[in-house]
Amino acid sequence: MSRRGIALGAVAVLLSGLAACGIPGESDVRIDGRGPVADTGPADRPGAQPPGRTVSGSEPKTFARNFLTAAAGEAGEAYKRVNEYIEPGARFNPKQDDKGDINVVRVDADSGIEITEDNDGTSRVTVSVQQVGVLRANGSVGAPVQQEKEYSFVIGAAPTDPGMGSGLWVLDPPAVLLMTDDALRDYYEENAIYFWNANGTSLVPDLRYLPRTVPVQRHATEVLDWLIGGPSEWLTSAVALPEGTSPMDNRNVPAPKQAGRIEVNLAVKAGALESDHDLQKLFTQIVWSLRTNQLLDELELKIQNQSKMVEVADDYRRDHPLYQLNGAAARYGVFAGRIYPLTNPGEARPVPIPATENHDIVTAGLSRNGDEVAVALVTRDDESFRLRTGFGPGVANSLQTSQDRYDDMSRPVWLKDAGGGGPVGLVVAEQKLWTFTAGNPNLTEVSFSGAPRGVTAVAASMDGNRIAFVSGGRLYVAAVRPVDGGLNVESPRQLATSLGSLSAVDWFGENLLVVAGLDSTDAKAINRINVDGSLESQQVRFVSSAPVEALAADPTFLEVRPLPLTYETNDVAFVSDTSINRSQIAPGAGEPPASVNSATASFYLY
Amino acid sequence: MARTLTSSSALLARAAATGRRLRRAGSARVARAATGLHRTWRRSLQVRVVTITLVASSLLVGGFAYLVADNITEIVLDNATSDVRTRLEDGREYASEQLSNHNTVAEQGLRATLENTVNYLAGGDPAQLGGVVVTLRVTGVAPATSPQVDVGGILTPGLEEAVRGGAIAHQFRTGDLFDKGRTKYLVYGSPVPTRLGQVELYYFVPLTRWDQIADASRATVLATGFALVVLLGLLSGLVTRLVVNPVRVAARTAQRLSAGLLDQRMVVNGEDDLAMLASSFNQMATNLQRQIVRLEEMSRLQRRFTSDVSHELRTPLTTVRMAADLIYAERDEFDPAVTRTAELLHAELDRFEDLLTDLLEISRFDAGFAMLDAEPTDLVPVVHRVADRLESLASRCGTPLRVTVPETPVIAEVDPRRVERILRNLVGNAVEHGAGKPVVVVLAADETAVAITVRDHGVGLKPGEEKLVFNRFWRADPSRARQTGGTGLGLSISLEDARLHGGWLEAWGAPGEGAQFRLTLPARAGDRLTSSPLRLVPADAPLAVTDVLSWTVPTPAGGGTAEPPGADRPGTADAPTPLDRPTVPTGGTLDGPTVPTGGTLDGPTAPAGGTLGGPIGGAPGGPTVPIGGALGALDGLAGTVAPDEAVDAVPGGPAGPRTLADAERSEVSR
Repeated sequence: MSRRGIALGAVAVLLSGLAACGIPGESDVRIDGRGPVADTGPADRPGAQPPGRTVSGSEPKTFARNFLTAAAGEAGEAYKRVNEYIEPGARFNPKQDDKGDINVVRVDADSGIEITEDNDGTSRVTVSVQQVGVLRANGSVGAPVQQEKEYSFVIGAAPTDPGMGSGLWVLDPPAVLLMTDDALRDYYEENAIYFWNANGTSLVPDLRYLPRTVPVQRHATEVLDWLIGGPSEWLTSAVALPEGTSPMDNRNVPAPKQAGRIEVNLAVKAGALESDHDLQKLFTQIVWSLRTNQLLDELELKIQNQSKMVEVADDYRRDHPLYQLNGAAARYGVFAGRIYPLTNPGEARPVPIPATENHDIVTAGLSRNGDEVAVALVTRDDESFRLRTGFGPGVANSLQTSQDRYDDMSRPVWLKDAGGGGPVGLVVAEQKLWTFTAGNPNLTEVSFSGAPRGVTAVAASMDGNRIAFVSGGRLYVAAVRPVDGGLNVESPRQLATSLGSLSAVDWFGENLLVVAGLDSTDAKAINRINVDGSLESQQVRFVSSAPVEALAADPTFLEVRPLPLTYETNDVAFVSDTSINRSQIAPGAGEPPASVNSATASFYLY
Repeated sequence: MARTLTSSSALLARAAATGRRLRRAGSARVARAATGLHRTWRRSLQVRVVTITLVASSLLVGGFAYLVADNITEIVLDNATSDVRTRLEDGREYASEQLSNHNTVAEQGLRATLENTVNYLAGGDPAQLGGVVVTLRVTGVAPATSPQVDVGGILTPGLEEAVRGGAIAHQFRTGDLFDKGRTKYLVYGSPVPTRLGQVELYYFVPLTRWDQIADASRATVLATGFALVVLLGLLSGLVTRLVVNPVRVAARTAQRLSAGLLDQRMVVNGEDDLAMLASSFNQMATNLQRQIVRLEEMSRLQRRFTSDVSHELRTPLTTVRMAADLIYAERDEFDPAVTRTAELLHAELDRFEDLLTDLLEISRFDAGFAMLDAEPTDLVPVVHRVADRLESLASRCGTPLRVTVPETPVIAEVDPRRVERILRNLVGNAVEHGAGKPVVVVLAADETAVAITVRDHGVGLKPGEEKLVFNRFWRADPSRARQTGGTGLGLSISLEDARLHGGWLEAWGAPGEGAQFRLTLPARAGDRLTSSPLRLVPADAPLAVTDVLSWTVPTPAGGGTAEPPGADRPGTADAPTPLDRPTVPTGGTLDGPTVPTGGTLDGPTAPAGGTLGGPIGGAPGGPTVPIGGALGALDGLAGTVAPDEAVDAVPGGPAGPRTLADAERSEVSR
């Protein structure tokens, strides 16, 4: 009996053991091994950020100035940063859908901020501002929405509350988020991203501002988000990415590892990126948009996790340039109605018109697309002006002359690559904006709305999709779109400038304009201004009050050494404050009449 | 108060008694079941083999099944672990890439990155992806979990600590993350290399699928093992049956053979080992049958010879008797020496006649001619009659004879003649060996049996003699051989008489304590005895001694299943089986009487002891030899008795004068 009992017990133990040997419900912690260790290299220090309240001291003016920079930083937390300056009871309480758009204002450094001391120890700050624009969450600066020219707020010690700490507080803040343009300059980086134009022939730059607090590792992620978010409002000529394009699984673009390869993984709508051409366009767009990314070495484009393209960024950009520039820009001057190539500085190139046609020229607009040269000459015919245009490889041999004569005519400009059928030119004559083509010098008036009549100057961007013009003494930028041989100027956007009575404008870079006018002291000045009007700086200032009649700049300095700005005033062309004289004429290009010492006009061929 | 106490204590006692009874009943049931099992275990080879096979195969199969199931589980676990680990490593890679965008925990987009990352890693819809939960923990930031469940119940501090310490670690946990019941989870954690500081990635992968695989395989293994065990049990049962059945047939056949059906044979099938066993068995049976038939024939011849000799001796004895009676009647006229001889002749002739009568009687028993003439008889007068008859002998020996009988008649279906003979023998023996001390005869009865004990206080019996007293021609003291007492067949005949009734005749004795004989008879003829109304061991006997020395000699009719009174003593279990006895005295009976036939006829004047002893010891080559030799196999006692008596016979001559006194004392035949 006992033997059987033992045996049965053994069987029971076995069966229970068998029943127990499943996947355990609980177990100890089992160590598999060491995990990976993070790169212990020193973390990149976060970029510059505006000073906080507590370090802003007790001097009301400095405090007020710092308060006006507080919004700078990543968009989502602008209110939080500004609120740190504000006494708790008066803080902003943004709505859920308020993305924290910041009103960028230009404040005169000296006289912009006035402090009025009150009896109760507080100070009333009055800020005179020029509304520059609205910095949106996507980094673009849009047209200003506020009209106020003056804001005032109260700063002072906090009401006696033991939990509040010392220092000044903003007791009565302005109703909107304000940030000075200085803060935009100091705490943001300019970063151009690119969108294809409607024809898919050229990339349209779109200027964005990236907070310096964003680490470089996140740069690509931000840029990609911008690209996916589409172009800025006013760039109607630019085309957004195919609809439905998004980062794969909302992913970040990982920071590159040692190899420096950035992987961009996109999800696109089925059928949106069918051809290699589309893919290449997308790749080009991204690789140019990431131009300022220091970490980028190779770019890998993945669509739906499938690797589609891998290229070394620099090589690819070299092979797929933004603009069809053939070498450095060349400068020309007009001496006694003839165009002469100029040197010093700059490389001399032959004049791209037959010598027989090189007479009676007032000014000219030259454009080069590869070897193809487009020429628009403003010629004097008695007291009126006519336009002569032509194009050809290297030299425009046959020139057409416009039938109509005009009382005045500014320097014509060419829109590069604006569409098929050769370059399109723009010219201002009789305070109107006209368009012409290389084959047809007869002017067609360009109609547009949103800006006053009385155009006095026009300038075309390198990409040929944007123009800047001065109308009614104010500066406008607009996107242009070719339609049936003509041109559409769409929704011009006025830019706030500190100069008044503007007389001339030209592009000084992809996203940079130079504009001539009178400053607050009625002194003649030439200022550089961003294409969105947000940042402005003085380029040249004169004592004389004669208006600058024309500006010619070489905007290509992004790629080669910049050439100096030339301008014309009183029928004399200047470069770098000195008039352009015959000594600058390239050797062998002939001599102007001895009486003519200085050039009456100067322009670039690029 | 006292009454209450008493009653309550009585109640308590009753309750305790009830409890005890119940307990006893329960344990009795268990014990009965255990006994039953034990009996089955002992009796059935098949049960034993099947049980052993089942147990052994269960252990073996269980062991293997454990190994196999364990192995499968191990493989499944390895699979799951490596699966999840791969997933974790991929996820870590991904998380590391995603978090590479961030330098500090204070960055604004970090939260979104964390959530996007865990959402991507968890794969979106938890219902579709088997409930995998992914958590990213960054020191200083609230952990991001996808789907958004509380993993605090499953993520242990130990694991967190291990991962925070830079190790990849995992743990099995059971918990309920989705309120859908408890599920086993494999929790895998790994640090994520970032510039942010400490970031840990955890995967909570439900093991439902793997668990199912493990369970299914385990169930399969179990079922297979169980089926195997059952199959093995059936197989062993079948095989054992194949072997045991012929053995059972052989056992049955052997039983029938031993019951006397000597022509029983086994069926021989085929040529295997069992067939060999059957044929060998059959051969053995044939040989035994031949031998037994031969022996029976011989025995029959012997019995017939004894009977014939006894008969044949009667006629000359009658003549001699008549002559001797004549001489005895005229003895006063002879000279004293002759007178003495005549008297001696007369006495020895009486003995001779008694001997012949007894021999005839016992040969009738041997031949199976003894018939029971049972009739309802009141035993009280029988006992009185015997006592009265032996009163004179008792008084001559100076032995008081006391009789204790119930006042009411004791009616039993017995043969009064045989009962009287038994009693005469017992009481006579008691008086003879009573050494002058009282002899007590007690009669008692119950519903089923009547019993008579005869107690003396003489020298008693030595250990082992309780059994020997019933042997033919056995004497307690060899030196008194044939000089006193009767024929030496008295107790043998009494035993045969008792057996004829289906009763018991038993003896008890101890040296110096005297002896007690008990006759137990069924109240109704043919009934089976189960107990005796009287104890075999007298109440005044020393207990320790009786324990060792008492003997029970059950008769064949009474032996076997039922235990005689006094069976509570350990000695009873060693009582000889009924088969032991009949054969032994038979040899003695046959051996003994045959001897004098040659010897006594040769010299009637020879002293009795010498006459009987001489030929036995001195004529080994005589007619006894072939008989003794032929019965050698069966003969145990005769061979030993004869030499003893031969040795005795040597001093038998000088002891001649003593023999007369002995003869006178031995009027009661033994």
